[in-house]
Amino acid sequence: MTERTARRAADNNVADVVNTIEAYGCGSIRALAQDPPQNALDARRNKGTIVHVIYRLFERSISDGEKMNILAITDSGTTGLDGPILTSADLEEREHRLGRLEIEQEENWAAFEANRYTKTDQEKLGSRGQGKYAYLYHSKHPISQGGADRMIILYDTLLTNGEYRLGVRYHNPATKVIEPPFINEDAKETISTIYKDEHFSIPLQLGPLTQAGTRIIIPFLSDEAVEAIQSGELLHWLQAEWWRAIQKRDMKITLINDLKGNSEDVLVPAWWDGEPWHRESPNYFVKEDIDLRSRNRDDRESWRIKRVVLSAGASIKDIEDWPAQFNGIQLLRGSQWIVTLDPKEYLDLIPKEHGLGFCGFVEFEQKLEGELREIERPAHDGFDGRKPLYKEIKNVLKGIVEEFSREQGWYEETVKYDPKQDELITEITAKLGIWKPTNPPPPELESDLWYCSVRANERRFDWGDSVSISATCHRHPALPGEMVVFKPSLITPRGARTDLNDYSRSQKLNGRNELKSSAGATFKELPIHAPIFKEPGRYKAVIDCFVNDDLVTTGGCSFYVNEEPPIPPQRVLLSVTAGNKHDGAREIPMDGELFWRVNVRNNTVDTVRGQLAVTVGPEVLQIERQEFQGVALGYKAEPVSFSNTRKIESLDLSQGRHVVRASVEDDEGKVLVSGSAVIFIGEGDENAREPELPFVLEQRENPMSPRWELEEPREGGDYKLKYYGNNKIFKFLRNTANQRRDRHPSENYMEEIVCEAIVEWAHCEHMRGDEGRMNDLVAGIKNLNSEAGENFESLVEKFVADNVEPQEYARIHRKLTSIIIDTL
Amino acid sequence: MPVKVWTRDEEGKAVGSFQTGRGTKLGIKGIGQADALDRRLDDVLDGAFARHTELSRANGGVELSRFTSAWVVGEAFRVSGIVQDEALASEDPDFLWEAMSKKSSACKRSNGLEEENWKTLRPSDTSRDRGMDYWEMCLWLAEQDYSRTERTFGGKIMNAWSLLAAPTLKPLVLREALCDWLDDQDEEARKVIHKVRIFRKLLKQLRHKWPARGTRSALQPIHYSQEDLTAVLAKTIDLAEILGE
Repeated sequence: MTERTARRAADNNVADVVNTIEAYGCGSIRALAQDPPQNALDARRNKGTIVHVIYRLFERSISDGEKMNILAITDSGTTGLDGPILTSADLEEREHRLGRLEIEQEENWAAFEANRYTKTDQEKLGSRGQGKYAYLYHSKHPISQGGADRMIILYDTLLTNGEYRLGVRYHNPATKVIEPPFINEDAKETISTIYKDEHFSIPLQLGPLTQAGTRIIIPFLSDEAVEAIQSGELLHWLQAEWWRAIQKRDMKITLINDLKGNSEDVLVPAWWDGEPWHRESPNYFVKEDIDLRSRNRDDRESWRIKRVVLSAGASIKDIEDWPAQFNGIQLLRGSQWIVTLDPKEYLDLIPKEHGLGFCGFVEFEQKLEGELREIERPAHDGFDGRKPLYKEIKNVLKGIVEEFSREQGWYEETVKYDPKQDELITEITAKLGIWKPTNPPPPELESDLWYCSVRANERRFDWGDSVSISATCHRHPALPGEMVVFKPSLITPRGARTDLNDYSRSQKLNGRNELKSSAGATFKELPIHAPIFKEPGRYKAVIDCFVNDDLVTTGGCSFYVNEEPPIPPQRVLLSVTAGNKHDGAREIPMDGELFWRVNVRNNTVDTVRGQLAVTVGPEVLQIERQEFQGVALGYKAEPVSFSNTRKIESLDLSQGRHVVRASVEDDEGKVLVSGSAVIFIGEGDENAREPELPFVLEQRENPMSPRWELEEPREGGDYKLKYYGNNKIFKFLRNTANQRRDRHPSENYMEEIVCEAIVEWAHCEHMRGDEGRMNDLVAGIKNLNSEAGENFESLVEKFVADNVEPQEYARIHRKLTSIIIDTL
Repeated sequence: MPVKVWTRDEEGKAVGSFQTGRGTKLGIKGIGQADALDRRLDDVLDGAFARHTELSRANGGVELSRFTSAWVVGEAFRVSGIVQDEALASEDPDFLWEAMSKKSSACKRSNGLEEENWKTLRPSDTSRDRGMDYWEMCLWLAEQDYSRTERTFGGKIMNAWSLLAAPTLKPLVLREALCDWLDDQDEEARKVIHKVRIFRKLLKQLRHKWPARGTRSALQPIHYSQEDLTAVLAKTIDLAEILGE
């Protein structure tokens, strides 16, 4: 007969198990309902197989006619605990060699026996062995009357290759795993008779497993667990936890109670039975495929909520003992319930009398589920509420609950329209020149086109370095022989401009063809020290190009002194400008001509190939294949420009508002970037011409609203700036008697809100790849105050950078807002 | 331009009032135009009811399916040309649908007589806001001929509503191309695709191709010919994924 010894599995003990399970927010019974099916699903044999988990409560006689309750949890449709059997020596050797205990993906037996390990290529929660604590916890019993506690579980498994194994683990109180396990006939013999060693004598008397799978046997079952099975509490937790997996036929769960002589399958709750949300019923509200603003770090694709189902629950609120876990919105991950958002979270949207019957659930797309797993609590009973992703999900859900509540007729937000506020936005946006194309008309539409590109040899310099600036002036069509004078100047971090007359250069234009001629200049190296460079920060070299004493064009580039440059967003960006060829305005008469210009900037390191398309209404203006070169990491790419014109008469466009859209798609049809600009065609009816505002204003009266909130457009609508009309300061200012001032104090309050929201709006558009709005904003501030504009531009570079920290983002947001307010 | 809107007061009596949109002032001339439009709406609703009854009779007196009923009503609206009525020029189209839905539920003719028949034209549970009025949906549905729209949606009104929920998928050319693409599938696959749940999966893929917001292509369905769009659909739709293969 094989001699078996008990080896230490790890350093944990009874107290460790008790502490871990009692830290579960919802208690040890939820843990018992959660971990066995979760382990079974993780070990599912293949995607189409239904995993069957059976909980069976039975009793066995022990000494002196005493009875012992035992719970056996058996899964089938799974792989079983396969993989090699690793001895303690194997595990120690591995831990010593790798510096930590790492268990391979296929080593399931070893994973079940070990503790505090990491699975290779997997950072799954629960993979460190906490699952088996749920079983051990319920076998806790004293070694002797009044003595210390101990725990034990047995586990047998039938593998797909026919091999049979039985293992034993106990905490007495130190953790031990018997070694080697019982194999094949030995295992079957023990399972069908009694397990006996120097500490335990457990009559099992069970039939061996007949299907591949695993059975966990919990002897000395706690009174708490027995009571939970007898009272139906375990059944309830199993339903709350796994109803969706059962509905999707991924899993079946059966509870057999030999003490009562009954057997029950866990069912889908009546109100979700038959997926009633697919039917046309006013009781159910469904939203699918909701993109989040947060994006996947790898492919930059938006994360997506797969489905939100909400129910008014008219017929379910009367159910006796309406379970709290269903009352609210259940967040499911991998068909498993994680947490329920209480209806109290929506006090302002769900009236008290409807709160009881309100239920719903949320499912996420697979990629987002992976991300949520990262922020899930180890007990799988909630998410880290501090994480921005979770905050965003809750915000999105709040918007959906609002929509649902409105549809149910429960909620009618008081929205007051105040034309004065629209005037305020119109005034501010007009001053800033947002949405306005360049005026006078863009130079490329004139016969002579000049432009200048400027480069510094590095992005960052330290004190004592030298910066080398070079510039190239181009002219379309060619004009060889003309002398270009390059006059450099430097803009300091504070926005002051210093002319560098000593560094001026002259060069004649030359060119190989009639299309273009160029002149280049490399300036003397500028040493990075006083008096020119006095402080660390962003500097900008500006080169003015003169021909015959006339300024023909200007270019510039920025670099950083003794400060880490922000990393430009590693994306392809695009901006669209469109308007009247004649004067640059957005209004174009029916006999006028439309011009458009699309700038594409590839800030990634890779070359991007794709199709550029420009459309307006039903008309395709331009469609061509293009290649956009990448830039070195940390550099901002020069934009590639496309522009052209079309007579309005040649376009099938009615009078009124139209949107010029541009996009770049890769060869697979994936849209890399897109942008738009608005134009108005014809004189039209003034009333029909809606004011072009970055967002519409809505005053909210419901409590718990923030001071202001910019809501992104849904289904192609407008951005909404929602501000809280009952804000105490706002109310006070509004009620203040007219004072002898230029402007009422409440207008100043609104001005601040509008300016803050304009910054956020331009940033939202930039995040989507359309940098046109942010460019408008920079140009607008520069037009009003060039020094403030330079400062603004410098801050924007950091604001949109990939490496901006949240605190820094908030700080820059406030600064940008204050610059706008000061400048207006 | 004003329209006449019929509602019932607290005592259940039908009351007509004139309403204007876009801040237009109500004048004598406007009232005359609104009354004329109201009379025309009598004819439109009567025409729709007559067509409805005729088809129902031809169908052996069996009640028309919701899909067929919606198409028949839409077709009657389309033939009447009511949307192009001069009274509605430069008005928000919602104005017309509001006037019509209230008129049919108040069952009030322009001459003051009751007309219960109109009630059958509009299901009572169409109050849900789906971004488009039920009547407007009917008209939209009738942009395709019956045979093609039936083949596009499998004769299921829920499928039509599902497509309407995605603004970028509304254009007629997309429905026509979708019909062509469906015609290329075998009978069994078509049956499965037309199941409401599966059809939603298909639309999900199309919404992914032409999202209503965020980063999206400048080339929308409207920019393609029907033939080209059918080819794009064939490339875009992953049938195996939809059918869960």
